[in-house]
Amino acid sequence: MSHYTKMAAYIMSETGRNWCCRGFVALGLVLALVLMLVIPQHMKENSDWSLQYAVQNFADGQFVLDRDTFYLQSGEAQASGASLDQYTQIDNQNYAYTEAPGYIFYLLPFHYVHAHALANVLLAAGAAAVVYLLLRRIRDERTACVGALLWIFSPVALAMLQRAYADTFAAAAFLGIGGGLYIYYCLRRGELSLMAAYGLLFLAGLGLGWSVFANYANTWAVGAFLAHFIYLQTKARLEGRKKEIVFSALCFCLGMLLPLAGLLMYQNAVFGAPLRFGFQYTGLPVGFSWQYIQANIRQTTVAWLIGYPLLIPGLAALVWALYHRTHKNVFGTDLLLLLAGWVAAVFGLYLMYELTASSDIAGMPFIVLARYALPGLMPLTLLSALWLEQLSQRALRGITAALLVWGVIFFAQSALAYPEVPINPLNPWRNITQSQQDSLLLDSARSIYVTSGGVIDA
Amino acid sequence: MLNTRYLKWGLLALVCLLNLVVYMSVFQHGGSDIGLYYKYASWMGEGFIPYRDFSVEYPPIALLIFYLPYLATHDFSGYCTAFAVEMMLFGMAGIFLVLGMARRLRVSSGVALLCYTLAVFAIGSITVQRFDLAPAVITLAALYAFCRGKFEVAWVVLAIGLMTKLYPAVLAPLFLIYQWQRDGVRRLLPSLAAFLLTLVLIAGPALWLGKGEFIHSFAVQSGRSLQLESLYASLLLLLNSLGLVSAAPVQGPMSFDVSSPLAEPLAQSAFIIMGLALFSVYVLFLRRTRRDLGLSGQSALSAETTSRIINFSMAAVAVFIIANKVFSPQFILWLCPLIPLFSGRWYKVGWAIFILAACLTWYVYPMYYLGLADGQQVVMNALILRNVLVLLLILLLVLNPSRSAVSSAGMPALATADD
Repeated sequence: MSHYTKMAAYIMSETGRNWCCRGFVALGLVLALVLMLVIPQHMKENSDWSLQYAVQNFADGQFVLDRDTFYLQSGEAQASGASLDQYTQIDNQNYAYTEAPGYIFYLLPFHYVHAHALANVLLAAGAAAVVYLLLRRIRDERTACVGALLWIFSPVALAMLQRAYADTFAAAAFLGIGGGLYIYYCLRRGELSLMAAYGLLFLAGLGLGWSVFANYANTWAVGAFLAHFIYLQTKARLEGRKKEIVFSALCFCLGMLLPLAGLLMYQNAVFGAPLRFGFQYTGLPVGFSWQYIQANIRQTTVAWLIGYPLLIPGLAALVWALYHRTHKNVFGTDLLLLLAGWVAAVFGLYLMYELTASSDIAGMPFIVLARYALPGLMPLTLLSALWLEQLSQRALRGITAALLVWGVIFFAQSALAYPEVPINPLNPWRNITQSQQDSLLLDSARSIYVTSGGVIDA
Repeated sequence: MLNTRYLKWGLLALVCLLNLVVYMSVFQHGGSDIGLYYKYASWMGEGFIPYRDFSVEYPPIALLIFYLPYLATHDFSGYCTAFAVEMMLFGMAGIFLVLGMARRLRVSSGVALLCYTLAVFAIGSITVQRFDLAPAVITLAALYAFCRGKFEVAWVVLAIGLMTKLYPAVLAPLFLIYQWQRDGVRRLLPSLAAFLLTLVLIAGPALWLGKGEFIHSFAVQSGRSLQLESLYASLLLLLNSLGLVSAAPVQGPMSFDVSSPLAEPLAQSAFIIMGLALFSVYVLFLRRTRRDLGLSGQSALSAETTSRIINFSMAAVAVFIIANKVFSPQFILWLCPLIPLFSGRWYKVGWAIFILAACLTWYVYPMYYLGLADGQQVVMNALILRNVLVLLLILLLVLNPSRSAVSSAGMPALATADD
């Protein structure tokens, strides 16, 4: 047998096909990285600027800025047409970062080696691996390959993967990794060794906890996982598996509490109390209320359809699976309800978001409206992949390819979108000039930090 | 059995009542196009002859549709309401035709009715602000007659549809192919004669009265630029957003168009692209129809054949819409009465795609049309998505497996790893 014949035979074997699937996912990650490098990022919102300065400040040990330093940095950002509106005044003299700091702490090691972009790439690899693991367990490697690629190449995922100074991708990836590992644990509970099971639970808890550390709004989604965990524990109690309850609760809660403890310590140090946080001080329109649902249905749902093409098939698959719960299905009713809760906790929550309901944001690029719901992408991906896998080979390849192309096109559109700065009612420098906008385009790759010692390039 | 019959009649009455409420109270009456129809109707009411005394861009039966509400009332506000009533009556006629066809296709009447109602509601007020529901229902009537084996009647109704709006002409090759394959050319001749005679009877007087103007009413659309909502325009706008071409919305003489160096070549190529796409649909239909050769002698068509004709008719209409250089929002109404009759393995997916496309059409116009004209990205993307969905629908229609492959649910469930 010639070398080529042997190779062909290997590729056609099941092992060979599985390695091909893994290779495609790896290639997908590489392609995503190449796209990030090749397509320049014009889009930079105020929150990106704020986080960029926050990373530098945190690296300098400054969790709180005095007034002078804040004004210096704010003026520097405004000269480029941006505003540090994610820094809020906490008392007469001091300013602090509004958002959850988890992503900043994660980003710091990459900041020290000047490799910020790698932070998100690592998370992307981790999340893709979890999607792959989960779908491989449920179905096969072909479905796993499709699911992982669809997750990476969702337009919003690609766009936020590129934005190293936005915490959206990290919030979604941590939640996806934690949530995915938790579901994997639930599916393999009876097969794993005790150490492996407890290790998995610990990592799941760590991922879920860090997702809240990175984004407060993930609390609701993590709450769904906690509710399911309590259900599992209650079931184990009723079945008399007391030892399992103790150790599994210990591992899961320990994993979750480590980052949450860090969050509470940070909040105590910055805001004076563990349960005080930045959003209690900000004047930005970042609340959640039922009154914003109608406006968000009008403004945000179309942006979601563009940014998350798996939204409709994922929801349809979820509803279908719940409707046929009396039939055998891969997740079981409890896990299906968990997935439904995950989706509702993100998409349902952001249907009530004040910022995206605002008329000021109506004409913005779709990524500005759609990015917040990225943490809800993973369950949609899992369900869509399982549904698409039912199609014929040709249809599956065609639809997957079309979705990947869709993802690349709309990622490029969002990256090249003119960097409209959202109107900040607290920002007196709202009307930036054309020359400032042009310089924003030119200077987006460069940032300058002003410290008391002078100007430095970061 | 009696209870089932009462239940069906009850459901039908409920749907008709719902339509009445929505058409009369929810949909907004009036609009600029109604103003134009009213103008034509009032001129005709004053004794002026269309095509001779005033130029008009609509075929003769369309003018009749404009004139009928004017008989009830002469003031504009009353005309708007009367026009809405007329469209509602066409809509109700569509309900009965859908029910009749659903019975022939052996699909659930209730579900077909629900889909039809949802489809009309998803499109919104434009249903009563344009007259396009009328030719859509007339086209469905032609299909209904054809599928019952009343070929001459079908061709007559098709001719009436053609004299209402141009697009029903795309069904003629499908009728022709089927009859030719089934019964041969000789038995096709009476149908063609009936078709041509109807055309002559309707178009003859108009041609005699105002020859140039009558021909102009059909030709006026061919001189238009790339309209903003067309597939070509949305492609140019997408490429513009990626920095690959220059394109921008502009106000044209008849509508918002797109201005770009590529707009003129694309506008000129649109007819060729449409022709090629329609030709592909007809060739596919011919290949599928050859399998029905054994039906010669039977009058009514089988459920399988009916399903195929409906699906390909829908595909032909959808191709006409998407490959046109003009895609006015009301064009989506042409598919409305047909979509509940979409059968095959992926029929629910097809329904979902159409309803989503209808909702996006309503989102673009009238909700955020000015935003589209301003170049707002989200609205532009909604338009791109709408056009992609229509393309997807066409693919589903022509590649859809036959009814014999229909699963009981129309959508595969998430099977277990053990299956």
